[in-house]
Amino acid sequence: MSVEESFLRCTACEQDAEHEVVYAGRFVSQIRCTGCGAVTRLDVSEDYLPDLRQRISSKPRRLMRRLRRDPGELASSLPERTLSKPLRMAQEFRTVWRSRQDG
Amino acid sequence: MTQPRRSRQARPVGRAAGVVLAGGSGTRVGAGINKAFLQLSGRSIAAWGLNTLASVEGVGILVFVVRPEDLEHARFVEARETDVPLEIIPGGDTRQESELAALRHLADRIDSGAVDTVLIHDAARPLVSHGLASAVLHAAREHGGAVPGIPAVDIAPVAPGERLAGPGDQDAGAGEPGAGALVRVQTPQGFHAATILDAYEAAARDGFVGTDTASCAEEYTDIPVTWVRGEETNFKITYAQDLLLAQDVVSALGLRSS
Repeated sequence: MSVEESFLRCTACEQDAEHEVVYAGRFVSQIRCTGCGAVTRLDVSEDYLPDLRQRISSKPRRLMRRLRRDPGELASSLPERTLSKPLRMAQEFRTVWRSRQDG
Repeated sequence: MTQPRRSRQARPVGRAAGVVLAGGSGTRVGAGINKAFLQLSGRSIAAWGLNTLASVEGVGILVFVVRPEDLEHARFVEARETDVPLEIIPGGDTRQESELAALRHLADRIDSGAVDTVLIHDAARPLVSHGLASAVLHAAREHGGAVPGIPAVDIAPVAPGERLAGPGDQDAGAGEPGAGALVRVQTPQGFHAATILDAYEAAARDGFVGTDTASCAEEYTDIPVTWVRGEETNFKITYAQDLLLAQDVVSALGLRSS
């Protein structure tokens, strides 16, 4: 799961305001307007597993591409990213599950 | 500023330059990231347009114009989300200043003839298709200027007994709205490079500020700007819900990044 914030126009209050965008894997599962508090939730559970399979199958290729382009960057970031992966995946599953409950 | 940080596969020979503008897209002081760098199905919104322009035959250079504070994001896009080298430059405070910065960045190559056409695209339109970008490039080379647009018949004020000329009308060219029709203008907008560079320099001297590339071209050049039929999916990410819509389009069209 990751959260990004950016200025977008709110469909509810029609104001340009900071929006909190919650991702479950590669899917947007929730958007919240920090101005008026309007929340849009999306159930991404049906699309999530096929996409996760695709992400896993393409991982070696993506890692090889990064290795070819910038071995130093990969070597420095990989250990930390590998160690934190289980926690990040757990958070991602939780977000997908929540989107299923609320979406 | 050019970022030749690593060897890459050579770009195909082409005399057109693609310019993608991400300066000031949806940012405010103290806010989160520029919306052009929000993720859309595995890569940033800007990366979608960059990759599409890169795939167009004839586009040999890609200039990515960003705010100075977004340079780090732009380098990430170049390193992880595209397969082509980007020339990343800082833009100005307005769209027109960013366009001028890009054209000045290309000026030497425009003067030498290495770049004959520029395609200027808004980074907040991630779902521009290869076909549309190719059509705009082709039309720009043919006529001097080309702009994609969709006849906005749903909002056009029509008096009783009148009608708007549509794309199929006899007095309009193929895919071209008739005279008087309202059009929702899109990007990429393509222009003869030397002409549009001169136009932007003249506009800067006069302090003229246009709404888009085409308005500056209309004011300062006499090149005919032709219409290319735009695409409904080539919408601009403005509302929060547009992000969800774009995500649905990516899924429906099977465009997901690998």
